[in-house]
Amino acid sequence: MKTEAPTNVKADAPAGVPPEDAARLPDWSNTRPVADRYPGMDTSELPIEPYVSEDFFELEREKIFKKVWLYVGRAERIPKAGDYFVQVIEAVRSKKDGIAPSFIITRDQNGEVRAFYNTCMHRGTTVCWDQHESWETSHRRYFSCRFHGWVYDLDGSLKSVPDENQFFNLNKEQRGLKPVHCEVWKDFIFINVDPEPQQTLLEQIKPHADLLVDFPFEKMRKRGIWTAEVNVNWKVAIDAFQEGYHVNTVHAATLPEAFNGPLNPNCRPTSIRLHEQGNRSITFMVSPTFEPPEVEKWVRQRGSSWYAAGGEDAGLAYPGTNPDKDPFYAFDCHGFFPNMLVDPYIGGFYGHEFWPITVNRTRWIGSINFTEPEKPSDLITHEHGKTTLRDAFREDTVTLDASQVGLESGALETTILCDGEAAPRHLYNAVMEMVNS
Amino acid sequence: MDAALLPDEFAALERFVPDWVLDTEHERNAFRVKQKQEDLVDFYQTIFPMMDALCQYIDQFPLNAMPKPAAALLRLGQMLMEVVPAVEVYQQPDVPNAFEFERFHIITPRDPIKVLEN
Repeated sequence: MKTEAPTNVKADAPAGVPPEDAARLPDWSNTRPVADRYPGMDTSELPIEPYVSEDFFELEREKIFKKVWLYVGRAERIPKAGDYFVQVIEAVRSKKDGIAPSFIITRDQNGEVRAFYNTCMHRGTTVCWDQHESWETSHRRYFSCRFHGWVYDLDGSLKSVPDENQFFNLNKEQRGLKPVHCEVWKDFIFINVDPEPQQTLLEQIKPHADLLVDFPFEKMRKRGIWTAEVNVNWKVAIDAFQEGYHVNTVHAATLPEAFNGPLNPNCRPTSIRLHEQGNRSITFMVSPTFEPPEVEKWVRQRGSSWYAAGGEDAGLAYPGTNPDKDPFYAFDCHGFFPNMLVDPYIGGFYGHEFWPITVNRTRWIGSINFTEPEKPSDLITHEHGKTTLRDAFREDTVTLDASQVGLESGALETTILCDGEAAPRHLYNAVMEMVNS
Repeated sequence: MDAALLPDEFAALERFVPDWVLDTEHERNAFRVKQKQEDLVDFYQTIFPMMDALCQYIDQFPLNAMPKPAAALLRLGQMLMEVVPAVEVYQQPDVPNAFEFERFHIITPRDPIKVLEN
């Protein structure tokens, strides 16, 4: 894997760029960051069928979403025994047009995070009827079904059955809530609905677990969450957030200069790792000529916003970030197969979940996470990262419906990707591999 | 008129109380996009020069025991961060050419602070 400093540096700096800065970056006119790292990589066009076909979506549900570990939430959300939330996952429904199952994610009496089907084992009724309008947490000492009052302990065991002696051959030990495999990595809770998962969570996310082993995810708290239902295939939605090629156009209003200055006008990635099993890690840079607006400057004297500002920031050791030591480091984007992006920077991380509903409907959830505030003014600096990132997401999301309309129009049979759009291709390839397995 | 809420050194912000003192990101964003741009600029220009003093004042108190004046100043400081992109970058209250406001839901949890009753 290539980690040495670039050798084909540009001799003449663009206007306004200090020559010593220019010398630290590749000569972009003669460089393709991804193809240079992965000589001989596939550069073919991508067929659009996997983004528009209902039949293909059914294969994805069966062969991917019902087989792999899926991130469902952070353990910080359920700090105490009996805290729980309900997660509806359309992509693992049992029938094509069936109803989406829901799951209880809770912490039991021993502090273990557990997941169960949210289904009473008497006659199947939903146990917890919570509809989390917001990122709320519910709390119960035990789970009782509203239909006939069966009561389950926090570890899922069936505790009591009203009028129990009227049942025939009821074995209470076999009628506990149906568990779902559940594992926690650095406060990220994952579940797997496959009764016999083909690999452990750590095997599935190994490249990220290795690269990010020291990043303090478990010390961070979710401080901004935004969601929208978008009319787009889940992969198209992910792809909109895992390349920089769109930044110059889509973010012309919110981030007009931060990432795409004269040294890198089209926001190419400065490093990219295409890992096994569809995982990928990308680093983006800030423009060294970017002059932040006044309040952002003030914020950066007190803390961080939502990306590192290059320069001195890039030299700060923040464990797990900036794997290739980019001197103008902004943030990393780690694609966790299948449906999560985690974007760490110096001081926090942001990220996305993409939940497929149908072939062309997806629930998007974006969020940002900071270390615990130590003093009230930390909440003010955090707020800067929240509002600027959120507003940029309002621009990203606007492209989504529009992309699906075009993909379904019949106008094109393939999409064509540039070097910096390697992550969309990597995701596509991993999906195809699993669907065809 | 009610007695002033804010300490004397922040008297210039009193005219933004209580309308601009909002507890959640959701409320602040909904408020921002409904204001006139000139009012956002006025707020920005009034509060930004005071921000160092404002932080110094609110940081006297622990997060879990904030008197009401300090909590109000914290909310006004957060409101500055809400209006900053509109004033410094977009020159209009909402993001231009953006995903529909009504379809985009802010579900941010409440801040981990406790405000004293009196």
